[in-house]
Amino acid sequence: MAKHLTIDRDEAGVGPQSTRAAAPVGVVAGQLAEAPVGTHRATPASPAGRPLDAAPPAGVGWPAPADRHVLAVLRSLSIVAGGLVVAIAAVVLVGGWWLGHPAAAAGGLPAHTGLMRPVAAVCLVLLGISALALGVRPASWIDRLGIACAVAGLAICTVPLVGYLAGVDLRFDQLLFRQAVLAALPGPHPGRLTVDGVVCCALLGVGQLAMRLPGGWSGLGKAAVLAGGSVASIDAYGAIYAGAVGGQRTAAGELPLVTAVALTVLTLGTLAARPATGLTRVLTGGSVGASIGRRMLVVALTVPVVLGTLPILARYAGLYGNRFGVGVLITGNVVAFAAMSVVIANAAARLESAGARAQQAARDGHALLTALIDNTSAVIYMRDLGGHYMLANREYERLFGLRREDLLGRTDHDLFPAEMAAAFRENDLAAVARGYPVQMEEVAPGDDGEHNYVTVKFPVLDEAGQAYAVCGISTDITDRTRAEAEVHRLNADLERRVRERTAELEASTKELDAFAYSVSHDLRAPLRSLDGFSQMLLDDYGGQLDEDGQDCLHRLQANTVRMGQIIDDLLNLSRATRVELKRNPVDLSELARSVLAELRQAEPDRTVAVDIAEHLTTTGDQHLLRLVLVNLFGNAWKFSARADPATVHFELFRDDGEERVFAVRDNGAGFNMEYAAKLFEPFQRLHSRGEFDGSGLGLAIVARILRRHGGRIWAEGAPGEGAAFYFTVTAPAEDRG
Amino acid sequence: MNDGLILLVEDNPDDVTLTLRALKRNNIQNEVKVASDGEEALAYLLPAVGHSITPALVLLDVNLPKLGGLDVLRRLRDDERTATLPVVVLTTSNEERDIVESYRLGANSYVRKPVVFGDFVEAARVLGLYWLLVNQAPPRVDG
Repeated sequence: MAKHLTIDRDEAGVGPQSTRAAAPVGVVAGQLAEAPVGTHRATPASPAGRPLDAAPPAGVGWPAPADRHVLAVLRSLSIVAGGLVVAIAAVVLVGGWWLGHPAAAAGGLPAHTGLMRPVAAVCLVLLGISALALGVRPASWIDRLGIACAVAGLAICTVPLVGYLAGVDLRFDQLLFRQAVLAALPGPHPGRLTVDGVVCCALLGVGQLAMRLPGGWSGLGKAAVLAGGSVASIDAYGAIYAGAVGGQRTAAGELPLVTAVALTVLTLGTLAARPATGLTRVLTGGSVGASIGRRMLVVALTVPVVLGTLPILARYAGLYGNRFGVGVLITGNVVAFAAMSVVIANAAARLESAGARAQQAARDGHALLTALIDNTSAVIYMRDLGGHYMLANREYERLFGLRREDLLGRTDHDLFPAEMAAAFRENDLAAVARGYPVQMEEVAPGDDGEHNYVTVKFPVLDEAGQAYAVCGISTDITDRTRAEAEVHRLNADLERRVRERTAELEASTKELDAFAYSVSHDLRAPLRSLDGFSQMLLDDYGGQLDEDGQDCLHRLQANTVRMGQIIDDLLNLSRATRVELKRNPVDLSELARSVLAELRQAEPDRTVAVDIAEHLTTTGDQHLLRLVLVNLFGNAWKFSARADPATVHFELFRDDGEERVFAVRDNGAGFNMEYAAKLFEPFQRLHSRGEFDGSGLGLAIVARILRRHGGRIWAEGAPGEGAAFYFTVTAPAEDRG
Repeated sequence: MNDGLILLVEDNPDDVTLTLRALKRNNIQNEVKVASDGEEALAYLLPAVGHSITPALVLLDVNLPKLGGLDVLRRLRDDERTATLPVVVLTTSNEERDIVESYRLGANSYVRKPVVFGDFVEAARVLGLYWLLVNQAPPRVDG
């Protein structure tokens, strides 16, 4: 907060004196004087132009900074006034005392209003130059000249002052001027300064010097100037009044009218020279109050003068006498002051309501922002550069169980574990160092362990662009990060389970392999004994068995053969799964011819018309594909046994570029399409054994082999009308042999 | 010197009987010695002490107790005395790996014993005809 206050002062830096108390006041005024006038016009700073109910500009403190336009006008006034006074004094000196025209010595006024003493004229020239310099530029050669002039003027009037105090006439003031002219003056010491003149000049000289000093001296100087001016003003009006009521001469010690008027003007000019300091400061601002003050000042400076002058003028003209004049004077003043009261009261009331509205607006704005930060689900906080909390929202309070009042001024080190607090602090400083919003992830304690936040931190800048705080907006992403962690965990778990399953699968494949191997060896041997010994029985003891006995033995042998076939098929079925695929180009036409040759050899009596298309090539495992053809042709051969003539075709059924479909057709027993799906399942048979023998495994073996290659098989047929088996060997679009 | 001696390495007595019967049905009169496991076979062919027998043909089963048929074959081929001895693997299995491994170890032939006895007799006939009559055996190496 301390930092913040410092910055507020800097913001108000336009205002003189309120800020750089140590610097000479003149310097500040000088900086203002250097600003080009055009800039003033460009800014809407005219006090009259701002509506009363307008909200005050942001950052305006009290007193309001001086309005540059007003300052410029006032300073010009001081220059004009200084110049005017120098001019009057010069006319008096040259015209009156040097050339000897009494009217000039009276400043153009009737001679009976009094002649300006030559010493007074010299004094006024010096003080006028000082006032002019005061309004031009501090710390310049003009200013130094002004100081010298003020000191000289002060010295000149000090001599008669000492004389008055000592009760002697030092006659110093009569040295330079012609006695004849001096003789025109009344009194025993005609050239001598009046008491009022001495006091007035001394006060003005001292005041002008003091105004160049910093701080309180400047204010005192203005007070001195005002006091001197008051003396001059009293004498001026006194002289005017005396003239009006018929008095010819000025009273002893009073100022001649021309001197009184010149000193009054000099007073006003001097006061206008440094308007931004001391008494007049409040009137120079751009605020509404200063604007009103300035208008009131104009009224205060003119109305009493006008009202006071009116009866005098009326008397001169013989319009009315004192009685009415005093009435007009008093009544006019009453009316003027009353009007001023009303105007001020009105302005104050409007200011007050504008202020109230502005306060309400500020409160509303504050409430709006508070509502905003308190109703978000994000955690919002602000810390100064030292890490002390400046602000926290409701979510922050809820999360960490702290009230924001208790939070103010504390740091994260008071609230969180050291490591965490250090991390927060580091992130804060990183955002300040970058100078723009930075996103990061942070960890903070929560009810159920640590919570993860995604945080945006950014430096908060003052008008000068300097960071004085860091704001953080944190969003809780714990659920997301926990979900991510859960996904990771599940994935790892899944991978582990896949590995386990794969290992299990490999183990069971190995087991199956071992099983099949032992089946291949051990299951057939007993069958061989059964068949062999049955045969030996028939051979050796056939004669002792009747027909039924021999039939029993033959049945035994037939079943042995069948069992052997089933075992072989089972082994082939498992082999279709077990063995490693060796993909090579395969000529199915050639394979088919060799398979067919075996079939013909086994049953040389069958007459089957076989048509095998040429160059049916593919890619696959030669061994297993041969098994496919053995079973498909075996079936076609077997089921066409009752057809006459039996025909078997092997051809390329379709080649659409995507896949090649081969077909094996026969004109045999066919099958009912209702059971087409059952054809390729193990041990499913569509014919009785009496009709056609078989293990019921052949097509299951075929389907399994083709599936392993990436191909498929389907069948079409009708009872008594033959069957067609369509198959592909490779997956669609796979490279074909 | 047992001219035309057959060594049958077979642990299953039924198979021994059937094999002998099949040979007999084919009028193969050669003397047949039976070894009922791998160690016994090696004791005949590669004895640590004493004389070995030098059969014209070895009929070797794969599945044998103690020392397996393929191990016997490997030992035979590793030994100079039996490196060129005609060995026919006669077994129940038609597993590809058995067939491949047998030939790789130097079997001269691989014959699967048929289940049907008639076929077995035929196989025995072909074997006897070929290995005992048609085939020209390498000269014997006496150890």
